[in-house]
Amino acid sequence: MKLKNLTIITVLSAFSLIIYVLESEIPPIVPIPGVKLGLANVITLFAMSTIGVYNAFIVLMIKIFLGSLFTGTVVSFAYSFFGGMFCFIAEWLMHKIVSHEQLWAISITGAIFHNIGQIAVATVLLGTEKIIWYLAVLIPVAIITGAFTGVCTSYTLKAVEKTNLLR
Amino acid sequence: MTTNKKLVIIFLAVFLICVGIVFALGKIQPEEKIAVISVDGEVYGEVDLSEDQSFDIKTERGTNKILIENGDIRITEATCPDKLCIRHEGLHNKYDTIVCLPNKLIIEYKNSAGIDAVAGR
Repeated sequence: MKLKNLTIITVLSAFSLIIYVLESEIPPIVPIPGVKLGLANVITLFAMSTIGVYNAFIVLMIKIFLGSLFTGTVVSFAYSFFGGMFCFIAEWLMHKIVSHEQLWAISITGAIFHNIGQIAVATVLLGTEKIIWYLAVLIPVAIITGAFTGVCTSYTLKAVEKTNLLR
Repeated sequence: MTTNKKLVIIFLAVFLICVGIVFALGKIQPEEKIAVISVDGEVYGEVDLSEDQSFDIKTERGTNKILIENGDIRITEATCPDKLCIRHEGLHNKYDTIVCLPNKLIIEYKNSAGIDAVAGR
């Protein structure tokens, strides 16, 4: 692997972990479990747009494994892993269909599927499929937070392009 | 239509459908006010909400203190880290649930429970 890619992966992983850990310290605003801003997805999208899908996947895996080591239990690892995988695959497919002009749409799709992944885990762990109805609440929230993180990523990308840091 | 517009319409449609579902389900009230409490996917017990009472549910993962008064059921204390179950204030409609994820506790009305189906009864 090129040294440049390795360095960028490392830096992005560090950012991703910091964002993830800080975000998990914020007390929930809404009395609904599992609702969060999902800012770590900014890093995933940023990575996908700059260093490519394979390298972005590495960044995501580092965040999931180390992030769960830092903040959670085996259970939270399961939620994080499946949420992250569903999100990544959805974003990857979406990014093949839609260009990077519509980063906000890729982000929303990722957010929606992150929630679907987590509900899937919850269905298995809690032993009842009724929790799937919860998606009717989670999806609208995902659309809003996904749009927000997508816009954040777009601005970040524009700012970084101006600096020639990644050329 | 540009891709942008198509996407906005799709997401808006999904958004509105979900909000519609939540609204519609939220209007339905249960036939009988009996709450079913389950831990880890298995039924722990049933409670009739017409009598005021309070009790603790102690499980491997922690304790939740249940209060029933005026036909409502709430969790008043819990050992879980996020305390979201305490903030959720009672069962407002047939499909409402009070969940304590860390303690794997679910409280819902009797006939809307998925527990019976899963347990094969």
